[in-house]
Amino acid sequence: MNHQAVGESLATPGDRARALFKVMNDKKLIPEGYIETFIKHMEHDWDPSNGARVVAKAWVDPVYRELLLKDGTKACEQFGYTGPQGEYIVALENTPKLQNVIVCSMCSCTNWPVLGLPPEWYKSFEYRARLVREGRTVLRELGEDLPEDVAVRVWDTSAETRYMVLPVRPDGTEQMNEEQLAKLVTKDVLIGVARPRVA
Amino acid sequence: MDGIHDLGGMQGFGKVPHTNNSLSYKPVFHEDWEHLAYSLVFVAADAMKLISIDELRHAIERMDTRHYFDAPYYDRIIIGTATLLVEYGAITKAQLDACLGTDFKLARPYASSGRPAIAERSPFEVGEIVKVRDEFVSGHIRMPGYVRGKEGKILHRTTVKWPFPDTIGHGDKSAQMQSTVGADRKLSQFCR
Repeated sequence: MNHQAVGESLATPGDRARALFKVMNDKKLIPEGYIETFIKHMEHDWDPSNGARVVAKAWVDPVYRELLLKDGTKACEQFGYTGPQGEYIVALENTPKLQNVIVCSMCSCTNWPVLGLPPEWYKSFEYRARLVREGRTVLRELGEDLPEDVAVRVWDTSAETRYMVLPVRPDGTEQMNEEQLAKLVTKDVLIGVARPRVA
Repeated sequence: MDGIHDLGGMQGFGKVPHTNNSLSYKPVFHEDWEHLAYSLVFVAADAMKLISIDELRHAIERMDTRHYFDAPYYDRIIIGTATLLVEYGAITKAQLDACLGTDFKLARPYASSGRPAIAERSPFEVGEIVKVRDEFVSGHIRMPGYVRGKEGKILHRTTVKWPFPDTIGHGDKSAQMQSTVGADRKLSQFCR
């Protein structure tokens, strides 16, 4: 009879999180307002609309595009989109024949300030295991069926570089302004599993 | 560490639970406790200056294999953070157990004391063909197993240096700083 297993089954992940919080709080380890500020960053400040603004500017401004590809950190810093898990940023340039896709096969590393926190599916065992080996198939299953002549290049976030994908500007967007262009750039486009679509 | 966390290339998994652009990504958190995972680890790393994020990664890697596979993502962050705070003596396991009302299962102890950084050599340049060292490291390492011993071409050399994860991932703050490279694998089986 394994009593430990029985006990464990009674505690939920939420119970554990609250227990750790209480023990840390009782020990006065949590500075006043620290968690509230961090929640504000996670829920409001770090958002894929940030990356979308960066992409839209790169589409309309050749000088900015060059900076983004040469020094992604500096380009994102212009908007204030750097911070924890976004201190060394590299933008990956798609071409009509190349689709870059981002993963973190060993955990969940993501460019937080530019893309927002990683979504559940990106942290899933399925995505972490399969993308590096069968990227084209995974993209097809997710809804992006790439032509055979488009190469898929997977970037595994294994160190301190935090990536963002710079997609190809779709045809039929010549009349759009930056704000309209940014709306085409979703979180999934920035991760690289989707291409921007003109509705 | 050739642990279960090193998932890249593993076969037998089904579909990724997602369809492109089907989510608004709001709300960011789906349960009322999930915000605590990153918040508390940043309290330990940033406010307390006690741990590095490398140590958190390694603590999660040190979870028992079944434990790791069974725990949701944010739960693993909480367990990793709790493990490090207990190991550093900031809190005790007894306090966690008392608060939880049952055993608060932590990660397993270190299986290795880590290793110092490999002595600085001249940096690689973009375009060079390099080979990933064919070595097995039982402690923390940021080399996914699927690239071990493989050749690839340098596409980028970072302009910033960071502490060697195999050192700082074990809490050794003397970790030597190194730049990293992004490489393109020349592997037919990975480039379909």
